[in-house]
Amino acid sequence: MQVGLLTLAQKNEIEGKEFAPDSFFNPILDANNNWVMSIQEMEQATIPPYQWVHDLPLIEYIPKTN
Amino acid sequence: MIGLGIGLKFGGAVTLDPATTAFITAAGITDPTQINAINRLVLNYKGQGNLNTSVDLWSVSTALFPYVGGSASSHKFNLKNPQDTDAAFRLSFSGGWTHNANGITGNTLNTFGNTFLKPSDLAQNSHRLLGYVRTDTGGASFESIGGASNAAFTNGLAFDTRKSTNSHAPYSNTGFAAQANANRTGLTGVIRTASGSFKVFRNGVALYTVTATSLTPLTINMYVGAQNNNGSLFNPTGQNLAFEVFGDGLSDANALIEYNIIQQFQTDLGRNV
Repeated sequence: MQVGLLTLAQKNEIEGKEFAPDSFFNPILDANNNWVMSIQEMEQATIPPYQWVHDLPLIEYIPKTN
Repeated sequence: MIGLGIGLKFGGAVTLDPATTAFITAAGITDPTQINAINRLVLNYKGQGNLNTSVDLWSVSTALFPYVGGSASSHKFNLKNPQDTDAAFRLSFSGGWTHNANGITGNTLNTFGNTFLKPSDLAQNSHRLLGYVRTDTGGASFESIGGASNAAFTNGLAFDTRKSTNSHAPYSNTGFAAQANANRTGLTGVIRTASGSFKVFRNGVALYTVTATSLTPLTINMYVGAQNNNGSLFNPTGQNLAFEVFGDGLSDANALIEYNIIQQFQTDLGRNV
């Protein structure tokens, strides 16, 4: 699946913040230690000042393996 | 019964139970079909409804999440205590959930709902965790209805399933013991009523019994739609969930009553499976 790629600074800015009513960002790390977010969060973000996530670059998600 | 009377589709004015009024007020629900469905759900849980006239399932339920209303703002409320507080076990949704008339759907990536309810809030030897799953999707990874586990997976209260292997991973204040079983939809989960074993149920019928002595319940928050593995997100679901319940254990007979009540609710909303 495709996910939005975040910088560390972006991740720190949005982590745990409300992006839509009663919905909170949950960035996660991928296998390459990139911070990423879901397409759904990108599409649904309506609460300022986080609409900039709509324009995040997309990468293919590679899950961490335990 | 005291409540707000409004004219609804079941023929004339219907008096709403106070629990219904409290919930629809908190959740901002105004659709008559949804209101009727919730009221019937509440009355049946209280043993005052058309499907249940005698068994009080309301007082043995700690959290009921009917996922009705179509948005995170309505889905977050606990029907038992619809206050917007962690102490009322109001859900906090994180990640990219899809909320609509069918309930909530995870993305297998980063979705979870924090219940703020811990296994230790339920009795060690009498508890249940059940979820109404509408979609049989999935692949090689387990997907969780919800719950919590310790870091080593040797203690937990949770229920996960995997489509590719047709298997369950049920926890009931003990570690999981994977079970071969293809039934991933409907009302599924765990019910414990004794210290030495617990049962996995689907649609009100016990599928199998797991011999496992219960352990001291964990004191970490349970999630819906994923496991809280000692603070780490584990097995986020991609399935569509239309109801979840946490509470005391039930006898086989009462588990069937509860299923019939929840199924009626889903049918009233046109989303039964």
